[in-house]
Amino acid sequence: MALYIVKRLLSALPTLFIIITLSFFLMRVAPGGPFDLERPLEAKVMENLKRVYQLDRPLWEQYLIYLKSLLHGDLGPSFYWRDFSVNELFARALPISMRIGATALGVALVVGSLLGALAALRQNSAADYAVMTGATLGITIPTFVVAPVLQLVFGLALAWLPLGGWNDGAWRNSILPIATLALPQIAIIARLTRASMIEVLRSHHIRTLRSQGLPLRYVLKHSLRAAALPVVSYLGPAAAALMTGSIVVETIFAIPGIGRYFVDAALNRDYTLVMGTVILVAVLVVLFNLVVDLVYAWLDPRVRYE
Amino acid sequence: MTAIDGAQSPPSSPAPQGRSLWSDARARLMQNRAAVASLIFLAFLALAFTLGRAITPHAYDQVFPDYVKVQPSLKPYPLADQIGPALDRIVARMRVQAVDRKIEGDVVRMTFESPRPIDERLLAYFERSDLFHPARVVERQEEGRRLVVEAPIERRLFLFGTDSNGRDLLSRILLAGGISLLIGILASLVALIIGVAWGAIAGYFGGRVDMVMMRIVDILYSLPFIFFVILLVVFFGRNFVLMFIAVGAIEWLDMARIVRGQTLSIKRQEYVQAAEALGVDSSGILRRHIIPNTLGPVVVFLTLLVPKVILLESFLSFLGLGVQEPMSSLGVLISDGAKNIQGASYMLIAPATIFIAMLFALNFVGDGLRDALDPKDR
Repeated sequence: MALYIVKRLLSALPTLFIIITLSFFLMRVAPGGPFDLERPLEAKVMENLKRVYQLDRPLWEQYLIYLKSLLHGDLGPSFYWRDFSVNELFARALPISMRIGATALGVALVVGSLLGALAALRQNSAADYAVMTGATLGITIPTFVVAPVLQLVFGLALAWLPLGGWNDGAWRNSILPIATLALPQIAIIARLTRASMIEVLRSHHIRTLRSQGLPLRYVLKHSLRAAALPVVSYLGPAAAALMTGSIVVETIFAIPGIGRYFVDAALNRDYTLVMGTVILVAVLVVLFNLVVDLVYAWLDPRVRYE
Repeated sequence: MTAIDGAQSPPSSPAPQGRSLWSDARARLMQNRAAVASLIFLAFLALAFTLGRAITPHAYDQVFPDYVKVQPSLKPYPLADQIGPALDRIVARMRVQAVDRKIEGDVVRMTFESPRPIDERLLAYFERSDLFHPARVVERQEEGRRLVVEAPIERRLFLFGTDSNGRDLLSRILLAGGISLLIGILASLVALIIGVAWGAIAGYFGGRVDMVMMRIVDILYSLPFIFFVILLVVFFGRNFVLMFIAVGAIEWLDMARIVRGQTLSIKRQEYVQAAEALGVDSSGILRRHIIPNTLGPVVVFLTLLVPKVILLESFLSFLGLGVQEPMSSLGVLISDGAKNIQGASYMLIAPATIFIAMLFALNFVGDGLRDALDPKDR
């Protein structure tokens, strides 16, 4: 298995390299620069700035410099947050986003799969319809509607929870953002679980279990394991997306996470920060897809490492 | 659609009409009450979005400075308690004394007094107000130092209230819904065309072509979506047409994977081999045999893609990257409403309700189509 993991990681390197190259040049070709302001800077100042950030070199040289520093694990200085390097920005913001994202995903996984299993076991009952209607609602209502409504109800009307802010990770502050992030995920996971669970419940081995009159928990144990496969393959990309922070949720709840960098960096032409976010997402996607495949093999012994 | 029609009526078929996959599917879809109701609802919405704007009394970009954030109401504005303060404002601007004021039905009758003759051009203040039609001088007394003036009240109906700039929310919702739906459909079509062509070619030719093409899909998959969109915005500016091209250019990846998978199994079928043996060229086989037979799952994916694109577009509009003022999309209206949720919650409720109802209906249609087109699931 260790060999398989190493092989998979190595095979991801060319993809990563292409992504880095592609986004580096795309970003540089885009009109505008990091120091373009409403009122242009003095020519001399501009020249100095460009020299400090090595923007006066030819593009291919900048690219080689960037690749070299990348190999040392250095994502470079931020062009917009000039007192910070991209590494420092990520070191501060990423743990916050990851904590909220991971908690939301965990909550969604537990609640979603339980609801989905319930709906599948009681197919076409009132409970089933209730779960499915709720799930469709959860998918269709955008987070930027859920978030203000939650703020209004729990923050202002009931005044139970703070409206926003991070407050050094106090749990009261993270309840609303986690709930907002988890709701659509719960909906999707419930739908996926229900669909695959219905199929699994019809399969021979589960039918045998049920016909022998075994208690529900045995049936659940065996069927959930088989029904988890589609959910697991959904979780890979979803985890990568959640861990890198949600722009909407972090904006509305004023959380100093990583999500806002995605938009701000590209709009400010903060070249290094943009590259940092792109690399971060790509690496996470690769990692989580690997984890998904490992979990897959663990859940389904028929899957072999190739 | 021509491909679908072609599949529905096999050429020169004799008297006993065969039941094709599509007619079976249509019959099954018609039995799904939720899907049919959703289809009717969507047709109604589309009609409202296209024709409704002609019926509503106000243009979507018409600003009423005197009616900022008024509540939805079935009764026409101005309300009785709005007329008095509005008249006070006008009188103050005209710098005259109002000695007598009577409101009779739809007409206000006032008498103005001033130490000097009153310039009648000042009555333009009535016209500028959103509450009154142009005023008319009924009687001049004391050489123009005393004027009796009549101003008809202009009744306006704001069924859904107005937004924070004083624009009719109903007109804006009708415009926004139309644009959201249009973007959803057009972007999905863009994704359809790219995805089907890409997937079918990769799957049919296989080998190295397949490997390179699908590797490109993998690479694009790992790029953050938002990076892509912002790059496009940076290159082309915030353009309405660009929006759906951008979204479509991102959403084709799944489509390409689905079509490729289908193609891989279809190309081993006997009829494809027969066509190859008869010497039909690759493009002919792709167009006549492969692509029409992949359409089942593609149509299902397409109907589920439309709501997804609408959500994406509203997300971009929420970030300020999407549709720009004075045009509007449901995402713009919802994000406006979310900002004004305290005090003017109807600004969120009205567009969000229509948005959710529309997505609900689209999802029902998609689910219904999937059940109808997937005979295994019966």
